[in-house]
Formats: sequence, C-alpha cells, structure tokens
Amino acid sequence: MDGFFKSFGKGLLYIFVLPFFLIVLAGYAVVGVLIFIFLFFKSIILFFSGRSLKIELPEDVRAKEIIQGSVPNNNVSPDSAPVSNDNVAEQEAPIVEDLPPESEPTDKPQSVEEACFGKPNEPTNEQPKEENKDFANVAPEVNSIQEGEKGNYSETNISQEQTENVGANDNADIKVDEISTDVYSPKKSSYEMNDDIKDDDDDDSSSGVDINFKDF
Amino acid sequence: MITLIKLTESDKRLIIAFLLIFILVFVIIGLIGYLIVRIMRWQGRRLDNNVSDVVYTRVITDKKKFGKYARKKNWIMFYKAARIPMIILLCSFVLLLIRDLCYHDFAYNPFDKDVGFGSVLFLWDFSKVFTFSTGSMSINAPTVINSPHLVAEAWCGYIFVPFFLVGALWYLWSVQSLIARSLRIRKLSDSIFNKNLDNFNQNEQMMNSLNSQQNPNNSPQNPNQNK
Repeated sequence: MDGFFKSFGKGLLYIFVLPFFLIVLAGYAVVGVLIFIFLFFKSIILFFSGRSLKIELPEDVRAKEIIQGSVPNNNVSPDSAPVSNDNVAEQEAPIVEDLPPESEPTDKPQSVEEACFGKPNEPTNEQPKEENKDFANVAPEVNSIQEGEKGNYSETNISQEQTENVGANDNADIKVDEISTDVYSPKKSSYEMNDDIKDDDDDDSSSGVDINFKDF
Repeated sequence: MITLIKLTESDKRLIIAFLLIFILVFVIIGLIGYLIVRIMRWQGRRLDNNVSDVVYTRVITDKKKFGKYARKKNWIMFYKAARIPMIILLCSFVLLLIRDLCYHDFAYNPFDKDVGFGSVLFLWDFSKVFTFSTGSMSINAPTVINSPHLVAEAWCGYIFVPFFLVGALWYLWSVQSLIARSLRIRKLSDSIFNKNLDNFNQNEQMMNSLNSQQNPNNSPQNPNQNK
C-alpha cells in the first residue's frame, strides 16, 4: 500500500516536472540537430583529409599507451598503475612484482640482461655482434662477462656505446638511460681527449696499421 | 436561497469511480516516470565504459579537464547514435518533397483524415461528451467520425508517417541518452575528484600507523612484507 501511494506521489511530481523536462528535451533536440550538422561536415572534411571522426581522443590513446606499456616493462611508477579492479591491472600485477624495485640499482643489469638476452646459459640468437648492436646498447660484451665482473666492465661499455646512438628500440633506450644514471663512468679530461686525437693522427701518419684500443 | 446538491447513490458511485480513475492515472504516470528514470540511469552508466581508462591511468586528474573531455566524447557518441534516425527522417522528408513537386501541392498534410494517414485510424469527436443543461450534466458517448479505410491518394502519407514516427522516436531516444550522459558527467565529476573528509579521523590514522610500527607483520599497510 505504501508503494501504491508513493507511486501516486511520484506521479503528481512527474506531472509538474513534465513541462520542464519537455522544454529541456526540445532544447537538447534543437541543439543536437545543429551540432549534428556541424559534426557531419567535420567528418566529411576529415574523411577527405585521410582521417575520421573517432570516438578515441588523444587522452584515450595516451591511456592505452600507459596500459600497454606497463605490461612488458616496469617503467610505470606504482602511482600511475591502473586500479586493481581492472582486469588489465590484475594481469600486470604479477609482472610488476617479479621485476626488482628501482631502489636497487645493482640488480638492474641482471633484469635488463634477462629481459633482453635471457639468462647467460640459455642459447640465444643474438650472439653475433652485428645483431646485438641492433638491440640494447648493453652489447655482446655482456654475454661474455662473468657475473663477478659485471659491475665495472659493463658500465664502461655502456657509457661508450651510449654515445654511438645505435638504433635501439625505445624500451632498450629507456633501460640504458636508467642504467646510465646509476652508473659511474670515468670521464676523460679535455687534455686526455686531445692526447687521444694526437695519438690517432700520429698513428695515421706513421704506420699503415690502425689499431684502436678503445673498442676493447 | 441556498440550494443543496443532492447526490443519489448512482452519483456517489460515479464520483468514487472517477476518483479511483484519477488516482490510477497518477499511479501509472508515476510508474512510467520511474521507468524513464531507471532507463536514463542505465543510459548514463554507458558513459563509464568510455572514460574509465583515462581515469584509471590518471591521464586526467582535473575536474574541469574531465568535464571537457567527457562532454566532447558525449557529443561524438550522440552523433554516432543519431546518424541512422537522421537518415530515416531525411529520406521521409525527401519523399514528401518529391510528392509535393510531382503534384504541385505544397499544402499537403500527410496526417489528414481524408487524404492522409488519418484515413486508416479510428477517429472520435469528443466535443459533445459533456453537456450542461439547467442544473444537470449529461455525459454522452463520443461519436466516430472516421473508420479505417484505404485511399489511393494518401500513398505518400502511408509511407511518410511511419518512417517519420520511427525516425523521430529514435532521435528522441538519442537525445534522452545525451541528457542522461550529461547528468552522469556532472555526477562523476563530483564523485571522482571531490575530496571528502567526512570519514577521515587524523587520530585514528596516527594510531594505525603506531600499531603498524609495533606489529609490522600484522599491519595491512606493509604490502612489501606480505609478498
């Protein structure tokens, strides 16, 4: 019985609200026609310019990049990670947990090595030097390095190859940048650089053999 | 001299019947309004599918930017939903225009009861239902002025009116969805970005942090140790 009289009361209320609702509906209908005509001509112009009127805006593209980028890489900070209610977030959670945290820089070479080339005992297709150069700047020298010597030797090679700007992918570049920020590489002074240049010139003029010890 | 209205039993029953009908009408209107409200809530929630990624990944963290982004998306969704009904309306009006050009008759009414769609409908005359004479009121049944019959000249009305009604109702449905999503945008802008301190107690939080320091293994605020 209460529901019956509630419905009666709601009916009275809706009768009073109905004219205002119809006015709002008519207003939106008229504005909708105008905006429809505007978007129609806009879609025609976009069609002839090779694009289309997409429901996906730049913010959606950025959000997709973040979601897709957080799945293979650990580059997304925990604050920007999706909420755990999302299915994508649930899939990402174990991957994020498996990778080491950013506060431990000494572990990073191991994660990069394992992520790019796999474990040292595993046979990989990237053993030739030419192929390795296409990947991360952490080059084949990493494979030949024993674990104990990894800390110093890989750092110098990374710092050298960083200046060469090999065409690595974005992930590798990001990883190399992260490594380089935590790595110390002894910088040569300008005098040493000049000495190197003079030595190179002397080598070119004196003998036909050109051995560049920098690559070792 | 004051004359009192004398009500017979049949008059009383008639008044009670009218009151019941009056109440039933408002109850039905209330139920229809409740249905419309529920449908609009359902239409508004469909906006969440399109804006959730941006909110979850924190691409937008501002109320104004969210409103601007969501309104833009709302209009694009309306455009995509209203394309088909607009095409139907356009085709029906083009047909009417072609008929008017062929017959040279731009005053044609497609809803007319003689040469329009009204020829296939039952039509009544309600003007003589209530008649008032000296001290009494009489109720008469409405007279039928048209019964369904087909007219060859009304072919344009038979095609135009159904297409027009379908297109108009479909377009109004799209407009209602637009209004529902606009209301949803206002609600989400408040719920997502407004900061509410109603259930926040600084002392409770301090006690929880002290407890977590004393018992780090049992504290829920130490997710690293739970791994």
